[in-house]
Amino acid sequence: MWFNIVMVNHDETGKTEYLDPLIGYQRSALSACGHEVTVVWDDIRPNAINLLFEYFVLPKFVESITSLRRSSPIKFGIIATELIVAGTIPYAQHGMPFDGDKAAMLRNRIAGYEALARNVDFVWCWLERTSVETSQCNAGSEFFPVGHVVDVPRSLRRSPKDIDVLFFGTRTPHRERLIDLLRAQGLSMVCVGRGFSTGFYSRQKLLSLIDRAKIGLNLNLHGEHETESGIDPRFASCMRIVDMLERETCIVSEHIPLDNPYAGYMNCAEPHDLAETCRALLTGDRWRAAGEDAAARFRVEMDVTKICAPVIDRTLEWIQ
Amino acid sequence: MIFNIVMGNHGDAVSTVSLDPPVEYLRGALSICGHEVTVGWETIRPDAVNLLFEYFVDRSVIENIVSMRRRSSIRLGIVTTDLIVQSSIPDAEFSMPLGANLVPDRIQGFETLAREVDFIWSWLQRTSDEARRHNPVSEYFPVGHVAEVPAKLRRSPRDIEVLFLGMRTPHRDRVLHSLGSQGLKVVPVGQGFPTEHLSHRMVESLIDRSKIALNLNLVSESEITGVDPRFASGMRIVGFLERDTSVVSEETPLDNPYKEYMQSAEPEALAETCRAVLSNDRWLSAGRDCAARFREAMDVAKICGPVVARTLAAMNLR
Repeated sequence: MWFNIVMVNHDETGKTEYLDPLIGYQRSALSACGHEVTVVWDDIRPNAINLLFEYFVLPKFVESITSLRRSSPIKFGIIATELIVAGTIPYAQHGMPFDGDKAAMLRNRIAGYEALARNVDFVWCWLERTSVETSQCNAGSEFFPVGHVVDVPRSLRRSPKDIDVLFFGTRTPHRERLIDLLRAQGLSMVCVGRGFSTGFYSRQKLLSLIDRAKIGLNLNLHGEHETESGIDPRFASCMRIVDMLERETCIVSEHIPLDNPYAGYMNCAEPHDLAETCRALLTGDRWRAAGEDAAARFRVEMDVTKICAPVIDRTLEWIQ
Repeated sequence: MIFNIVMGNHGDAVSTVSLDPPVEYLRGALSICGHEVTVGWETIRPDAVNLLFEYFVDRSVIENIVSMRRRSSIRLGIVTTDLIVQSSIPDAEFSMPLGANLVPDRIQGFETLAREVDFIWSWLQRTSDEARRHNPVSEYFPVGHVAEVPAKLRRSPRDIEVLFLGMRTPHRDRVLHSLGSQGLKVVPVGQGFPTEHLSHRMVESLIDRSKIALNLNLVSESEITGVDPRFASGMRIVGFLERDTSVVSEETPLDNPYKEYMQSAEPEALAETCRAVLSNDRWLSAGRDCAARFREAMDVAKICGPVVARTLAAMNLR
């Protein structure tokens, strides 16, 4: 089957490298499962299954796809990468920086998603809870995990291991509290990402930092009860964790009870135990064996041909 | 040895995204040759050989580097990717219309720092010869094979006959028009064409959909009045070869180590060459065969390993 990833709904951002990691995973996962894939700007193809990454803030776009669906048998699927539950994105307050009227953007985004989810052939969600929620709008809603596609050979990423603990991601009040706590407990940390003083990091600079790190730290965007909706906002950020596992980086993570298929490949602890967990791994270079062992198990157990191929097969059967 | 790639001389942090492909190549090449590599913004490491990609237009950056070199034993090398000959960038008029006025400053900055640093690695042979006038440790550092993209990760319909990636110039326009008028379906992408910028992933998808990738010089031979500005763009061509794409190229007589892995022809014969490659799906085997020979002959461990070793020896760092 031919899948055609269309990026036009992301406006000019769709032409930038910002979404490349997501596109790269989806494309190679489908290809590894035996399917042909194209990545285009706005070239919707009648003889392919067209895939749209969720972000439908313009009512005009939603209407154009809805109208196209009514006038032709063109196949469409949505890929939802965010946690969308009870008509909201629970970590949006701090986890989704936005210049402008964020509340209005979120209302449009959720409305657009729910409208199109009812109209397309299927929805693939990278998080289980989003998939369950979406099944209310579309019976072809499936959990499409982010698994192992291809590891980065060690011969291509030789680096001095001179960073004890690396954190990369958006700075939020919850993360800041934990980072302050870890630093107060004597851990040497490098923190980069939106809101941190280092500012923007290109992909190659970020990958170099990951390769230099003994431990990659994973922290939730919000605390468990830190949302207006009362919905638990915690989930494992797939792209970040898989980026680290494919490079054999040892991961220490705050405990994440929901939407976390990676619990078996991370060293999890409650916030007050994170420093101790890091210290134990840093002792006697335990981080090295822990990282290599977790990555090896991840690659076997979460190989995309094992965990995503059945999803794709069910979807293809469903849309026949 | 640790090599530290420093990007701070390239304007703002966001603009360095466009440098990710050359940074990725250099990092991969050095790592394959057995060295540790870091990529940073402005941190110069005293325990490493620091590498700066050529683009020195800010006088304060140049002065800082000169002053640092004079007061400390920090190791520094320059990596040049452009053609720099006779104190000029011969293709600047065509390839960097917005930056052409910066060329005199850029050349001055390069020549100043070339004399100050420990070595220069140039991705083009002629630049390397030129740089030797300023620094005896000037080496040609070819763009070779680091890592192919596995075929199972790039399955695509082959629905594009001929793809052209690059900036629109009058010469390229003439050649593309001629190919179109001879019945070839060409998809052009790049500055000046209706489709100007696409992300790396979109460009990779276009390459994987193509039967032929076309390589054209910026100018025609008859337009050349001074230094011949023609050269083979290593990043573009290697990007095709690592994905088994068949390359048809206008004859590029200078700075072209990829001749053996392309089907070359004069502009007026390009349509015929493309048609021959397209017939009976020859593009498929031609692409795979060229890519396999390229990987064997231009493996970085083989062609760059000795360059790195000679450079380290020159610095007594072996």
